Amino acid sequence: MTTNESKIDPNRLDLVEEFRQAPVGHHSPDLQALLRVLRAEPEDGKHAVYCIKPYHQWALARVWVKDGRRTIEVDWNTMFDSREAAEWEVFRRRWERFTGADLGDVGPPPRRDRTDPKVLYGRM
Amino acid sequence: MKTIVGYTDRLSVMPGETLHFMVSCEADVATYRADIVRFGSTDDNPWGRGFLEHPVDAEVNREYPARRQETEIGSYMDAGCNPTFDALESFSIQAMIWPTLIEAREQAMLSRWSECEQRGFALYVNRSGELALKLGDGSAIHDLPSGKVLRERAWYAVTASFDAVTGKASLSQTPVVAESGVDDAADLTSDARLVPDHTGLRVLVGAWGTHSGSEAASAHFNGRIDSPRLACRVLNASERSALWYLPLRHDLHGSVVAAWDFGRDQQSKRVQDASANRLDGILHNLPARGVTGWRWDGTEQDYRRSPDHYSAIHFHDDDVSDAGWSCDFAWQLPDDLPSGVYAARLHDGNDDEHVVFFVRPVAGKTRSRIAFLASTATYLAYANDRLFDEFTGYEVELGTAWTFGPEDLYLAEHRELGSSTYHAHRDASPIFYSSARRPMLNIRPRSVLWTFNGDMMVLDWLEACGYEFDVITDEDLHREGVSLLTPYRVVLTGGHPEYASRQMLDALDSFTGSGGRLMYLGGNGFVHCVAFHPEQPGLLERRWVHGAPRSASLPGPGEAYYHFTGEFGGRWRRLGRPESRLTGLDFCTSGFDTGAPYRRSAESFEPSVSWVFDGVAEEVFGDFGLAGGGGAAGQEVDWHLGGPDYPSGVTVLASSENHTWIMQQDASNENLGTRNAREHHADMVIFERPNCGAVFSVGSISWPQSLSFNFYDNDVSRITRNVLDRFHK
Repeated sequence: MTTNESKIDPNRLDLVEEFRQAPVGHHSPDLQALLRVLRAEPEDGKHAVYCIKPYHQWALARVWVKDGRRTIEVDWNTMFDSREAAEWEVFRRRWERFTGADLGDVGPPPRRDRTDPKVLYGRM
Repeated sequence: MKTIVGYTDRLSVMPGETLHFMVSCEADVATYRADIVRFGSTDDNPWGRGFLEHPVDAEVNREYPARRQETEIGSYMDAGCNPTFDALESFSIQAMIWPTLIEAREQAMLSRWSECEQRGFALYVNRSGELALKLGDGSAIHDLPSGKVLRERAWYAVTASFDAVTGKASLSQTPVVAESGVDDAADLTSDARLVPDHTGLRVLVGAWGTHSGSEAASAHFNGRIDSPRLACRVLNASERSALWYLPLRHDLHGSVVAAWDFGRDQQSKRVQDASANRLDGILHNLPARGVTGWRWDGTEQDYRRSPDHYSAIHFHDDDVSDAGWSCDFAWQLPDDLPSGVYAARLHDGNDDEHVVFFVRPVAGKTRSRIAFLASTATYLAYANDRLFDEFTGYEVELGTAWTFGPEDLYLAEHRELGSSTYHAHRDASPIFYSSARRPMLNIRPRSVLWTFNGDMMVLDWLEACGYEFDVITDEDLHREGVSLLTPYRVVLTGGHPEYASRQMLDALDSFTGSGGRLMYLGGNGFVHCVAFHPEQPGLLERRWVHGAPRSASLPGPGEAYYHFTGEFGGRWRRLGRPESRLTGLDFCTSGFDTGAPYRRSAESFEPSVSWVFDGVAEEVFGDFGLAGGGGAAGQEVDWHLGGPDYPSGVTVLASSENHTWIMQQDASNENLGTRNAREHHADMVIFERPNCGAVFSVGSISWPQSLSFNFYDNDVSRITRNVLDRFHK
């Protein structure tokens, strides 16, 4: 799909698991490199997150570009009750988009309590 | 989905004054409900009190008829429909133009045209990108295109005329600098076969009228127009050449109907006509001024010193300085209304909206010795930030997936509400201005924890901890100076007071130098220079003179001076007012994935400052935060580098540690000095100022977003409280 495709080793499932455990935060150099590639996903069709209700509900989103204008498409059928789960879904879809490999039954990140000081809330 | 939005005629208001509310409702409903509320907390986070609004008993709390209000965007100059124009039979028009967005739509430079009635005359760029003259009598049109496509960002002398005796129309398109191999000059004449009927129409520069009797305009021009002229006969080449220059050659006075001088009185909405007729024009929607014209040769950088070199105005079809909606209701604030952050809560049955405003105390009626300084300059600079427009690339710096909200969806569908100064116009030229007279979807409760909603964490904490306080705004401080602060012992900022005018810095310097205490509870504060409009409230100018972030555009060469004030713009450090002199810190870097905790310094245990940490058990503190989780030091952080740009006696109390790779990847940080990007961190400092003044700075945007953790019982809250209690004694 892009020249970056070759930079991703579909066998590095250890990096997938590292991301799943901590979608945001300290990452190994190899995961950092992987995320740089995934986050440079082509703009047309790029995956994103839509915050339906702050602190409570999110949905998968994609951005499309047509005639130089961007539109946000919200997938109302793919919703999450944590930011971590939303981050994971974006990662999973990008992984599949770049490698063609399905991550199968790998589940979402471990659930944190909403009052956990490390819970991921940010909406930037 | 958002279906109701609104705005007020100003952001800051005093008891006794009247505030006007403008509302537009897109839902198919007959009425909407409005109620005035005062905010306790503007956020739903699960750590503190949750969203909290206190009802205000106001006579305006009731149902209102719902209506959809239209926003007219695009700038132009309107010279009205003076009878002098009606007397024109033969005429010549000319201007220097610098088109910036040639596209398949018509763009008018100088017109007396009604699009609805198809009559009048207009000099314009046609759908093919060629200069053209349009003449219409209401039943037929004569169109004379140059046949040569204009180049973007090239100056052209464009002229047109109509001879009522011969019926001839002429047009010329001449590049000021001819490019080798480019055929873009034209000079032609045709038989018009009609007499244009332009009676009663307005003369516009940068657009044409939609129909007679209407204030509306369309066909907005993207680009610069310089030296627009209108004469009452067909001029010869010599006369046309002489007409570019002001003052007018005296023998031309009898023939010139109008010669608008864009180079002078740049701060005024009124544009002077240098002809004997004095047919001055009025600018609408604030086109860019203080920009170079066709004569600019680089020898002068200040528009005030050489008006002839800056005799252009840059018009945009997406300029908006005032949405111009009709008032839905007006509220005279009761004399005893306490200072605070308020809103009109609007509900149309589908959607809730809060139109936010700030109530400051009347002079002499302050209720506390504590003031919260709402960073309205920063709110304006970010107003209607269209993050989705810079989707590419920036995610790597964020360190998380892009997360959008309902306001992003709404803004994507409503280009007419304008963008922030972090973006560019449609023609890729910089956005210099931001206006509060439009719905601003990120100055809202429950929005992103950035600027307004992030700052309100401080307000929530003050109220939850039982402090009495007043709310004042940047613009109040700018206009009134240190006298606004004199009643207070302590002034607290929010998390990101990034922008400041010179008057604001002067007032804060004077305040802290004469016994006042400043608690700077943020990061990347007081870094960039802005200018407020001298007359119109809520109008801000900002030019990225020293580098443009994100999708903002740099001002063009020779365009560093603010048109509102004549000040040189940019970053205060480069202007001789480094933020470190006020706060004891320098902006370090940014990273938006997660925060980090602070570790106390050895110096923080000295008796002179150890009171800051009374009740704080651990050396490492603040490993919690709403901003991405992880810590009180995050998003954008400041550090203490030391040196001649710092006040003396600064004690570094704590420094953040263990930031992620996202925050440590910025090797281009101009404040790096001799340090390595791996060392990026926040410093917390305290220092005394003369006459018992003092400053406490935390150096992190995320700090306020840690205050509510564990229902305000945490070390970040404890430290903030220790300092506030000590400072306001």
